[in-house]
Amino acid sequence: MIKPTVQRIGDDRLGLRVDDPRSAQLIASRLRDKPNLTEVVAGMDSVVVAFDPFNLAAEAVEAVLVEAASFDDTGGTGDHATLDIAVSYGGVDGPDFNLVCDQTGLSADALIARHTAPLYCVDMIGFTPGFAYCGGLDPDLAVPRLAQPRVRIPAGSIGLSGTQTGIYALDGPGGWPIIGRTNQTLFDANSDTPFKILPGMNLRFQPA
Amino acid sequence: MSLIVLTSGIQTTLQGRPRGGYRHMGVPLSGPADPLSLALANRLVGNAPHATGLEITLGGFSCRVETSISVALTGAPGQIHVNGAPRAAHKTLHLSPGDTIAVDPPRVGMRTYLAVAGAIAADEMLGSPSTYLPASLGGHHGRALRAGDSLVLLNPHRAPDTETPEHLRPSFSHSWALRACVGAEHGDLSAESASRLWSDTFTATRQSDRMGLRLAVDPLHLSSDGCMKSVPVFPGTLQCPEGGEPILLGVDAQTTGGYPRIAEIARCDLHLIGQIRPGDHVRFLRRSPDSALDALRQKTELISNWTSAGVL
Repeated sequence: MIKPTVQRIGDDRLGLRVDDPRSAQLIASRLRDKPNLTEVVAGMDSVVVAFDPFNLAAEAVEAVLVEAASFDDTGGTGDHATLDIAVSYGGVDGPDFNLVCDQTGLSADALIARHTAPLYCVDMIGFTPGFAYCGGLDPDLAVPRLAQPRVRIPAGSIGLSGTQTGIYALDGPGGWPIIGRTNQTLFDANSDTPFKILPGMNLRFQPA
Repeated sequence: MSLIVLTSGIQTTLQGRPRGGYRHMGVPLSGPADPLSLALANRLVGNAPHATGLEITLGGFSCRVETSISVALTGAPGQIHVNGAPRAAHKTLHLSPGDTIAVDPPRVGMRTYLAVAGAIAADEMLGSPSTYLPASLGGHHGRALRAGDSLVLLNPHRAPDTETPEHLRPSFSHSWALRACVGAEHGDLSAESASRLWSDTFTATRQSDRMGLRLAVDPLHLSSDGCMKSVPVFPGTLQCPEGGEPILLGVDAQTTGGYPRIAEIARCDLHLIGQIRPGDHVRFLRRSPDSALDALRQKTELISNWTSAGVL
């Protein structure tokens, strides 16, 4: 078995590269109740843990990570609920819609058709509370991040980058080209389930 | 028993214990951008290091207390006035009912911290009273303070007189040197840019807030293609977007990001990020993780002899 590569990050974190978002979520969930790990965060193809360096040596944490990554899991029961998201494409709600048309060579109608066709899967929540990274994007819609990220993107904005589409649940900065926006509430601090979109859910977009 | 805000300044928020342990839900750390200064202020009024106090950005804040209470101010050195008379920072101050206290805009540094004996009531959210403005979490109804706001003083009392020992008072200037380790994607930098990361002087731009600072420099060059998959990031992560001008993440920073991580600020120097203001110069001093940890242990020992707890 090839030992997974663990990377030291700063003085109080370690990172592990994994194959895919599902592996990242599985490994992260195994690590979450370990003592002295203060944060366990799943990325798209990595897991990073923060540890208490006053109580643990990096080597000890590395061993815990390697163990958590070392067995296969092909089963699993994620949440398969499907959420429909109504999107206003282009114009003020999609400031990079035309840019993405140019980059992909698609007409406005074709871009909307291709973005609304798939059933997406939520790979990861991150970036800001409730931001959902969704896999299943049509490969012809692959575009790079903005060279200069925006300082403020309105809540509900929907962007694209590489193989994913993403929904910004709150106002905040962002580096993804924005093609549209939804009015639906995606984060509610007063609710028992503040985050409306969770890893493992399925999503479909519809033109508003 | 209350503290009434008279002038709020450009951004004053309640900050205390950070909101740790929720990054996997996309929830940032928050808490004071300069936790060392809040801890020092709390120590001067006999509070635990993370007791909820006021984080005042670029001064311009004033308030009136309606009860007797001890307070203290630390951090960016804006002149303090009590009832119009100048008073010192880093010293226990005793206020009587009806007294006003004001902080002028500092000429160096960004954030001044006001601690009150017995702490201030705040909305708890996900285990923390600290304010996270973008999601309106915690603090005073999740927002920055406004003139007329009335804050509840939990246990106002007179604290024993004390002053921060001179050698523990952080110094302020317009030039900062931050110890840092190489980031996970440091290898994506061209050889010339990797060298410049550790020798160039970066300038903080006006685009700076609790989420982070954009730094201006002759653009750094990356060999990557702008399509890196999103990775977890933390306060102190230095990201390098395609444009080549790095972003230094702060306490309210996002939890994941797709820009290469070229450096990670040593934990012992994270508190400095909260005091860098637009126009300030920043340099990065390269350290190995073990050497950064040694520095953390030394600094922690120095401080916790005074504050009786780790704050870094």
